[in-house]
Amino acid sequence: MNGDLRDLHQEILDLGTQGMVMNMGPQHPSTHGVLRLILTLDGEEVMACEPVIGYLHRGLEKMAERRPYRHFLPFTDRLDYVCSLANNLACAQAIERLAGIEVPDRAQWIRVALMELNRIASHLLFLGTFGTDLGATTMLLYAFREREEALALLEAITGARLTYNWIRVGGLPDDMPENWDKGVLAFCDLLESRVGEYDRLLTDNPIFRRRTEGVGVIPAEDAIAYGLTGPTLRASGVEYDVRRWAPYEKYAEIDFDVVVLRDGDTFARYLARRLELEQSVRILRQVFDRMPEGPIASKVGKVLKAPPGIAFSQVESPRGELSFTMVSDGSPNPQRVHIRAPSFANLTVLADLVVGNKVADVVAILGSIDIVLGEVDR
Amino acid sequence: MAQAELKERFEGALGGLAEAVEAEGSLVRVRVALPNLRAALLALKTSPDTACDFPANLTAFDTGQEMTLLYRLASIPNRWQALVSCPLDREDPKAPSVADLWPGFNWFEREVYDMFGVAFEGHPDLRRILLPDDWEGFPFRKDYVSKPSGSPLKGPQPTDLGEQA
Repeated sequence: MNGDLRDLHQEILDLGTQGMVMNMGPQHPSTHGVLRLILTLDGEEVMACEPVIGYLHRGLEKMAERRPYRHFLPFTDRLDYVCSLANNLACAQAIERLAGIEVPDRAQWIRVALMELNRIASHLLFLGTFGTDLGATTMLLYAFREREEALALLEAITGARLTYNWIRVGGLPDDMPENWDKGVLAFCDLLESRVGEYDRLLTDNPIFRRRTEGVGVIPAEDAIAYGLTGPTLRASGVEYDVRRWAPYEKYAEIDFDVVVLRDGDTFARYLARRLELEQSVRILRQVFDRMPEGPIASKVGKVLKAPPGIAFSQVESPRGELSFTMVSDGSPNPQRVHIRAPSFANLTVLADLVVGNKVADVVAILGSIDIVLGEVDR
Repeated sequence: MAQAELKERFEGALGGLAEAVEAEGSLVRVRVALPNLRAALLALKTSPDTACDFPANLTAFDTGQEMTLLYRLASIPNRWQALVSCPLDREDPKAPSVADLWPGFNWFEREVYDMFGVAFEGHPDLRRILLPDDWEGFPFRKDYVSKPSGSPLKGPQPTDLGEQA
């Protein structure tokens, strides 16, 4: 009897353990869009992860090849739809560099203000959804309360709440509305008075910290090898912010700190974005005093042609380095447009990062990378 | 840093591997022939003179006559970056994979394969990434023709805005 049992036990051991394959997404609230993760599980533990993307692929880069340079600008709103102004700027900047178009000072300052206001709106959305991912649903209401104010300001200048399309090649379509600067400065004061509430809800919350601290640690050398950018990279202790590294518009003249943290875990990635809110406020306060009067757009001909060559833009979007590479053959249409989406590059680290963690931590880690599938799939 | 000095550093690190090196601000444009591609990228990454260990971008473009790979590597502490271009054999586009040097280029190589059909030799998992697995052809090649598939859920649609514009 005992011998039989031993044989049976040996037989089971010889079979080995087989992982259970589970699909997370493409329709899953915590994948923030149509991302599918094929997880192989051993109980609660992740043995392997394979991200599947492309569900939102619309062929935007191909569309760009089929129309004149400027006609592509409204399409860029549909990339990272949480921060569409950064996409507008990255596209316009690539065309400006390719065709050698200057941007007037006033337009550059307003562009900086738009970028930072949109960054605040994007980071607030992150704080809200990240809290929700981890069960801290209250944070969403607080974050959206302030995000609403930011969107109202963006609506006052652009007329839209999400797809702004407010950057043109060579400048901006229109100047700021009257008293817009006062509204932005009042919003800065408001946000600054409210960030303490976020800290009480999330940063100092022991449950939130137990869920995030030490989870999904990315060492600095891995973060570089994977080509991560944005707060995801800076949370691992690498000081790389395009606003400082390769300044564009007026960022070289602005005083702000690049938020760099050391731990590289999920909590550090959260905290990096939370601290960047204050830096954006600091930048916004410097913009209006130093903005000169003057034109808001330079003259660009009706048919925009660029000399043959290759140019690329680099913009620090809330998610990282956004770069448009454009190749011109001298005709009115670009020969090739490639969009280096920060979410696409940041997502490459996920498969290796979640192995060995629990399923619930996959949600936390994915949330902390802060992807937008619109720009991953393009 | 002076542009001449930057150019010298890159030429020194690359030895005879590059066909052309031009410095332009903090950007160094490097042209490499296909047989030297992997060695040149490895030299840029490991040489202390260049230290370009950050995989910033990888893409390709097709002119109809020539297909070219475009790598962008940055050195974060030194604040310079290299744009490496490498022409391919358009009839049979192949290139050595560098996904083992930079895991971040794994998906970028899959994307270039997906859109241009460039076979990256030594890539651990070369499959389509954005397009459906059963897609036919490589849409960013200039000789690609959009054909109606008859189904709105499958394949390209017959619209061609380029001809109207």
